[in-house]
Amino acid sequence: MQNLPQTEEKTSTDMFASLSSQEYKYGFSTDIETDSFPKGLSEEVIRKISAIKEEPEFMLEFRLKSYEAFKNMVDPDWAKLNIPAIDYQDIIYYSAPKAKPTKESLDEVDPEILKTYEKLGIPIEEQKRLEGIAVDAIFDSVSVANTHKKALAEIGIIFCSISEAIKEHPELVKKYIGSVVPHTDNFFSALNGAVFSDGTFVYIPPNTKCPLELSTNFRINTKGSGQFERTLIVCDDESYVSYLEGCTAPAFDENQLHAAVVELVAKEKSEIKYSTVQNWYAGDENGIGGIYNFVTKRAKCEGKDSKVSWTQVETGSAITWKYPSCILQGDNSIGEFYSVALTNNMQQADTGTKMIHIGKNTKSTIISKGISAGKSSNSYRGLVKVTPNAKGARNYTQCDSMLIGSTNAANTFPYIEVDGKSAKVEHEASTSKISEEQLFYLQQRGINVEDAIGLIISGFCKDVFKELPGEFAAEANQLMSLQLENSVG
Amino acid sequence: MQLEEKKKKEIEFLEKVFRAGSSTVSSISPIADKQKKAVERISELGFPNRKIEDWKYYDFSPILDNFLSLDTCKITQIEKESLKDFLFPECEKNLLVTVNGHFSEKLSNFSFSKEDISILNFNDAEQLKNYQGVNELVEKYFAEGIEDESNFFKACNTALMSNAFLLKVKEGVQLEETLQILHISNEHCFNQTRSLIHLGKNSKINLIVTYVGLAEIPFVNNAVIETVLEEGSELVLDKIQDDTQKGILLYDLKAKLLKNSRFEYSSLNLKANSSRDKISVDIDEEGAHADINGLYILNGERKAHNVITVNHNVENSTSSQLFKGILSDRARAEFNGAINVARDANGTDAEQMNRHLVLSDEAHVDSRPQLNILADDVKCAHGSTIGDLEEDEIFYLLSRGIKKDDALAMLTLSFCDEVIQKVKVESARQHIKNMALENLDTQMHKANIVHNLR
Repeated sequence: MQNLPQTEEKTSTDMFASLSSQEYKYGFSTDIETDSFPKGLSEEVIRKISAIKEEPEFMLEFRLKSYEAFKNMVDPDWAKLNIPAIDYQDIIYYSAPKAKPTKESLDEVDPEILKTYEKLGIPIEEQKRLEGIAVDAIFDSVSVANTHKKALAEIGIIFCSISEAIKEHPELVKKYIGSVVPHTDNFFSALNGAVFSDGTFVYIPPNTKCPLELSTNFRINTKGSGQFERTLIVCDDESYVSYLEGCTAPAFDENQLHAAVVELVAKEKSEIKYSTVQNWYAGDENGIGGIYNFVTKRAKCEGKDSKVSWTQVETGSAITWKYPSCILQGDNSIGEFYSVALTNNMQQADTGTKMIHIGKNTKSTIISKGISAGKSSNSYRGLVKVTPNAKGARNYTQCDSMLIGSTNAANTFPYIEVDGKSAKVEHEASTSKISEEQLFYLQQRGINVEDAIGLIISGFCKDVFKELPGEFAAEANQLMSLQLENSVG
Repeated sequence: MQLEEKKKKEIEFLEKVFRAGSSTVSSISPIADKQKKAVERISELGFPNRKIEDWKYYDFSPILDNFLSLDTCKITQIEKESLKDFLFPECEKNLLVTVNGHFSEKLSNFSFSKEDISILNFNDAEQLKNYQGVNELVEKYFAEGIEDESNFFKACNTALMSNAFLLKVKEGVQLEETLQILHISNEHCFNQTRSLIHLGKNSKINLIVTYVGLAEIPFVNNAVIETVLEEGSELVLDKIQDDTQKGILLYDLKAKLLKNSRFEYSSLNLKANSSRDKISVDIDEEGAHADINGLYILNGERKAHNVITVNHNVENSTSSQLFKGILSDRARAEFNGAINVARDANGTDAEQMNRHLVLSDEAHVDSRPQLNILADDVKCAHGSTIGDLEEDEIFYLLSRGIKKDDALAMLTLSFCDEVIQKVKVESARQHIKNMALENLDTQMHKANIVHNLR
């Protein structure tokens, strides 16, 4: 743990005074030493974040609007989650890495973490990258490098950090930010709107198929700093992009808040594929520590014949509150949601999706697999809404749960709201456990218990894993076995 | 403005309930105790609103708009002749009739031995004296858990009821005949009907409970049934809702299942402007089985809400739910069904199915099939479908030379049949079919075809 990079918390009053004495409109130049703010949230802090990032006026306005909305909201309490009271004034709302903490070699990395990487089958080069050794990586809230950026730029694809996009492509950001998740949407998205530090921006021009899978690795590593990512992906007419979001975070004792917003806009005949493997620190078996993951992800299938597909593998975080959704506005648009959510020990997850059918002949598919072990609680919560105009809408939902042990909980809360006769909506769900017969069968074929369980679990999740891009699928499989280690007797 | 008016009406409602509640306090102390708790619960809960999950899709305005008087609920003279449409020959000898919540001796008829079955108004000290062991039953099971009651209207019923029926089947008594309980409303009022059904060990009875509206005036019928099934007992309860088009029905059924008991329930919603069925089944001992079914055929502006909770509180019990709805015109339906499996309730096998046939563009369906599972060795599944008739099926019939209208009618009828077949009494089944067809007629405009199919 001592090897983990830690930004010093220079929260002394002197520092704050010297910072706040500077007039914000002159902006903060790069010579500012402090990368972490003092704790707390106020209009001043927001103005400062905006100033440090040299944002145009519209961005500041957006942040302040969000903050106003946030002040008038209360934490949502409808999810089946037991969320400890969060003091929003006890959080550092901005942090950026200064000099990159470099390590000479892998020898300096915590062997426990290396062991985990090994079990996940991550190659050495990748391990180095993940550990910040001589490879460009994205550390904390500020994106540092994008290897393929140039190649992509040649065909007109913009792939950069959102801060950069705000500066270099303000017209695009202004047009789309908040167009899918408005600043008033919910408590956490409003908070994000006010203080988001960085994130990813992708723009695919018309008639372009993005030649490679865009990926960003997020890590949280400043103690006590919240992570407020903002991702915006716009896929123009007849284009295609596949985006991977992978998350690994080292262990911390202190709970960390994460409130990200992801907005996707799909234009006519375009397709966005968004895949996530989330493996943040989940806390120990007593529920100490772990990330609070309150994410708002939403896609708008704006154009005709557009398609958005969400795939997620959620194995980490102490608390997950996440509902990647699709607004199917264009006629014939398609929304898909494939999810595996695994909870162990004291983890809590309340996750699912919303499919809002507005356009004619819109289709949606929901496949959700929940696995709960230990003393965890795992809930699927989903909405399928067919509005009166959505003639010929079609939905198929399948949400299965698997329980391992008898101290956990699995819940299913679907909401199905349908107008009119032309819609066809089907929902099915089941709950089961790993049967002794299945285990016995595999064991008598010479497969040990742990592998047998892995095999059964991967069969259970197959419908989702097959949607993941190649290397992610393998990683996800390993992750599941790792996460369930020792949980089945 | 509208909101303010609504608030005003809600307050008026509560005031009326409190005022009326003070005059309906029972002279029997265990009942009076529960009523006191019910009044406390009413003030704790307040008038329900759509922010409460269970009421999310409910429209309160018919209740608030039509809720005028509590005092006019009285027994009125009714001729048996006017009931003939609602009576079933199989039950002729065993009929219990209430009018606006009051027992009508004149219209009722029993052939059972009084030894085997006791039927009485347990909110009458005189009657209570004549029956042994009833006091204890009432104390134990009447309004059990009222202090934590979540249904505002059940608490209202408890506070406001005057007559309360106990139907007690003696241990070991197995009756093959069916008893019909007919609740009639014909006044513009807020009716409280209350029943407690107790089945002794290894006893068995079939019941048909019918709610009928005789006058085309708005009324609110607030009905509560509590039932306890002792070890090895078996209860078949078919509820037929045959109100007038202006009736508003609030219904609360609670069933407590003890060891190896069996509960078969079917709810047939044929009329009523708006109905809300809250059904809670508690499986409290091993080996019990609950079979909960429902059919609602809605046309015009009618609304039906079904809120069902099946609680598997112990090991090795089974349950199944099947709810089907047909909607046309601007009808609305809500299905809100939950299966709750308690910690350690291993060996539970529970299933739930909800199907809707939507025949018009303006009909609306909200479906919420839920599972809450805390034990691992269980088998639970649910399904929900919403859609029009299957085109392949229509095509199949057409390709066999059947006319399109006939094909549609056949498919629609067979959709209902799965639930109608659960009803035990033949003439009741026929009555339900006729009513169903009548509802379907208006929307399909092909009466003769449908009638030929009968």
